[in-house]
Amino acid sequence: MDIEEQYDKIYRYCYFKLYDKHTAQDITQEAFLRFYKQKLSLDKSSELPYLYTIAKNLCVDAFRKKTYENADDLEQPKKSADPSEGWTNNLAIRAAVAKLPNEEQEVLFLRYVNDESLSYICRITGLSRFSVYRRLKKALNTMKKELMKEGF
Amino acid sequence: MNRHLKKELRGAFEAPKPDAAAKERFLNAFPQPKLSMRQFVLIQMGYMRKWVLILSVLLLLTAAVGAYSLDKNTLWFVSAATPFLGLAAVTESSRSAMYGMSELEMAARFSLKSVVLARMSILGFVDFIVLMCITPLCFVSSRLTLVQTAAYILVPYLLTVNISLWITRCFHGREAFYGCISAAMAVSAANLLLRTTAEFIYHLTYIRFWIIAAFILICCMIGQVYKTIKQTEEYVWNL
Repeated sequence: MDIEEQYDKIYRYCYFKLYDKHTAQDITQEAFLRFYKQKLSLDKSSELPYLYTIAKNLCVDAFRKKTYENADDLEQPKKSADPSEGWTNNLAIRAAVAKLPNEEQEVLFLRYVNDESLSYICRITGLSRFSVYRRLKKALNTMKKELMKEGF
Repeated sequence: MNRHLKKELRGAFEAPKPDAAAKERFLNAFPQPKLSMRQFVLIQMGYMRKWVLILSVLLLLTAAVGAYSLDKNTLWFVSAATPFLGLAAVTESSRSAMYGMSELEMAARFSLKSVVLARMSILGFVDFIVLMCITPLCFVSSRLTLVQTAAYILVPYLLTVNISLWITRCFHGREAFYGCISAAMAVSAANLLLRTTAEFIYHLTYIRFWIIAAFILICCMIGQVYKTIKQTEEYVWNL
């Protein structure tokens, strides 16, 4: 596994979950350290989904910790509105993505941003191939409808 | 629209770049996971060109078809083709030297010596299996003794491997590649020529010479492999 290449992917995934650059980077590094500390004899195809699972669990822990510390802020973490933080100016697409449920956003992210294969997405999300495919299709259709409403 | 939308999605989910210094610090300090011998060999197998395996399979199929149809000429055809099996093994195992990539590979994570050794072992094992399979198949169709069949298949193969290993040590780049091809073609052609012009050497009475030749060639091949591996160490001194 190319650590450098996967580092960016895992970092993007953590950022997608937490929308906090520094926490995402800390969790990425922690995920890698935990992954190699366990010294599991995984076959090559299981390595990446396992790494994603560690990162996902760490993100959940970080999110819980954050919500416990800031009891007032119990809803979704705020997405950065500052373009310097890296979000694109394509507001229409961003708005359409934001309207999707989190589960659909996750499969879209894994498939089209991190370029993961369907079988990896199945392992990461714990869904069947058919469910992932259906979720992707549904998300794309919803987005298309939203964009058409906006006149695109 | 889907294609455009998928492309745009990448931008919609774009994350700010991670702190480059922190990333570099982490990657430099990150303990490289230890690789087992099995994993190392499997990785090296992945780098090998597929046509080497395809050639082995084709040779096996030829022998199988010959055995099925009981065609006496199968042995001679297979015997003429085995030099190319040897050629494929040698050119594949010394690919880095042929394409002038040795120095680059020496700077890589694994030493050139272990990589060359692993590739030679894999190809040697594959060729051994192929030869073990085609010998009984040719024996069925040739109506000669099993020892004769094995000797007529092995000797051209070993001769090509020896010559090719010597060529790859003495020459580099395209010269080595063309030299190996010429050697394989010469051995193959000589094999066919001797079959028609000096048929008596394939008689059972001469089998002991074939066996002696095979043993000498095996010993020479071990020496050639040793020298080739030794040469990769010399490269390190030249760095």
